[in-house]
Amino acid sequence: MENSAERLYVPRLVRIVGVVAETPTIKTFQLSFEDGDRPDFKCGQFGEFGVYGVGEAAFCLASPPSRDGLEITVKEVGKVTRAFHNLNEGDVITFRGPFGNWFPYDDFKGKELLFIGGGIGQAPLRGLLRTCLDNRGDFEHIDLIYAAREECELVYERELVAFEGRDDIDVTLALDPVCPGEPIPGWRGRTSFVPPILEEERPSPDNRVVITCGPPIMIKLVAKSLLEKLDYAPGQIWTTLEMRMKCGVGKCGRCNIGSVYVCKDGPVFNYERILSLPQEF
Amino acid sequence: MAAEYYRLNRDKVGELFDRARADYDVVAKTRDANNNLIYGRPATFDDVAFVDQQPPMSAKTFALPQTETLVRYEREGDKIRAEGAAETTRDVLLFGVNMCDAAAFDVIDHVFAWDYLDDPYLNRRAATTQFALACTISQQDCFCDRISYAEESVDAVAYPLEDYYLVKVQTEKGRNLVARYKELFVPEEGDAESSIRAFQEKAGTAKKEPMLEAARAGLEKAFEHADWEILVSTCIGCGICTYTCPTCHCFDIQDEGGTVGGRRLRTWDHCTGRTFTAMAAHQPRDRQYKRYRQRLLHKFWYYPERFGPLLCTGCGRCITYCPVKINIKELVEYFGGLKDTPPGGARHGK
Repeated sequence: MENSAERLYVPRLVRIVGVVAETPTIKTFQLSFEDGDRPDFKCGQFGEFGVYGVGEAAFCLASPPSRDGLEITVKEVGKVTRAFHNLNEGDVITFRGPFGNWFPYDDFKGKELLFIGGGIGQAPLRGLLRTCLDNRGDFEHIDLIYAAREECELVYERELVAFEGRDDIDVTLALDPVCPGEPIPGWRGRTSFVPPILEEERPSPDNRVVITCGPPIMIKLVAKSLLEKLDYAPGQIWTTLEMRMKCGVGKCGRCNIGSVYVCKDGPVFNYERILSLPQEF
Repeated sequence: MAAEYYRLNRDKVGELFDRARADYDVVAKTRDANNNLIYGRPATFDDVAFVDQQPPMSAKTFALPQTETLVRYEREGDKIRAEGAAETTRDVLLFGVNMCDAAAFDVIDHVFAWDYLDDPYLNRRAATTQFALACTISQQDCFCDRISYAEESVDAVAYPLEDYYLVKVQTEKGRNLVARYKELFVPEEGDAESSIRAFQEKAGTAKKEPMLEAARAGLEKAFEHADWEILVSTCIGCGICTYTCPTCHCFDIQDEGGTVGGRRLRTWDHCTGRTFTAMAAHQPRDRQYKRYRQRLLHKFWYYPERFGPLLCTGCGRCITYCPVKINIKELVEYFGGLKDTPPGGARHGK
């Protein structure tokens, strides 16, 4: 029992080896483990990242586990994320993890995949999406619907452009309509919320799984549309929940929804499970 | 282990206290400089307060301190040195602790020992021996008679009978305690369990139906109940119910210090506070009643669903110290369907 406090609360040190400004408020940090091997992780897991003197916050591991290094994408919204945004290449941050469960990747094989991301909610989907593309032959159609409030809130722009040039993934980009029906000047994608796109395209529920992450309201409306208008079963929908976390290991009591610890039993949830929880979202 | 029973004569208790201080860090009820009742370290046996009343702060702090250092860090240029807080733990004897406080450790052990082991807690817990003193009369707001916590988890319990203390030893740690000072403990020959039952009946601490465990089925249907908003709208989110609670264990992790050096610490936190679940773009518990509901349901539904025991030992502190007189027992009875009428009176805004 001697050293598991080390394991639990004493973080590893991780160096920033690259910073990509995704948007004016969102940066992706490329990280390198200098005190040993990068830990193995699976798509969907998260870590507690921190800056000594400021604190820790939970971020999803946003890069494919099969590639070297580790990337996280951070939106500047509070104390810890502001500190991150002030860091540069070469700076050192703290890491605990990987924590939580993961997407049932093997169960997705042989299926049609529909990814639906909203804003920075694309980050938890990115590792999985890129892993699926790296193993493209294992899946049927892959679709991505990616929506944001404004163009400057779309992350991973360079990858989206690359996806748009591929013929083995269909990408639909959308921005929230400011004035419904009116196009946004210079915008190459659609101007719509996600549910109308789904209801127009009507992706068949046959052999398809939907993997979605974004603001809770988007997840809720996407699920409603899929379940009520497109005949999907709750079990076909997978999402990741965001809940405030501190320990990441099922102790601090912050992320509970009912008897579920989002940090341990999640963050990846099948929608069937979500429907069985007290409806706090 | 099977329980063992001993007599401890009243005139031997002082000797026990003094001798135990050589072997343990002895914690007992005492008075601080302002005459407040606390669990503290009495200077002499005369400073021990032999009262049924619970100190406002429970004994959980001896396993889960209000604040503790998890990591110390130092920065020199671009080098960071950090290490976990090394703690040398001396054996603690909780001498004359209330049963509701003693039994609370077993309740929260479940969360600190499932999956990942939380060693800072578990190491202190392992070093703590409980020598509880049973109440002679149940206290103002307490309801331990309605909650079936694991009494058998308490290392040793002293029942103050007419002429002597009947000591029931229930664990290895309790046995070690008695073995160390065995000259003071005389094996009990009589029917100890009958004496204990009679004592508890007289004290008002014997279990009474309906136990609050029975509220669970009702609570599972009550999440959307319209009366939450009415009945707990007076909650001001001060958190005193959680800080005084022997089983509330939620914590925060914060950094203290600056860029040159400092510490990462763990500190008590409370689910009734506005910021507890506030996130960048989302706040699932955006109204105060939702935050109070979380506390109640965590204790009487979620925690037992996950781990077994209720997250409550019925000490009643949250009722005593609530500035707006919210009564958790009455709310559990109402929302859990054990009583048809809601808690009444001006205190609940009715």
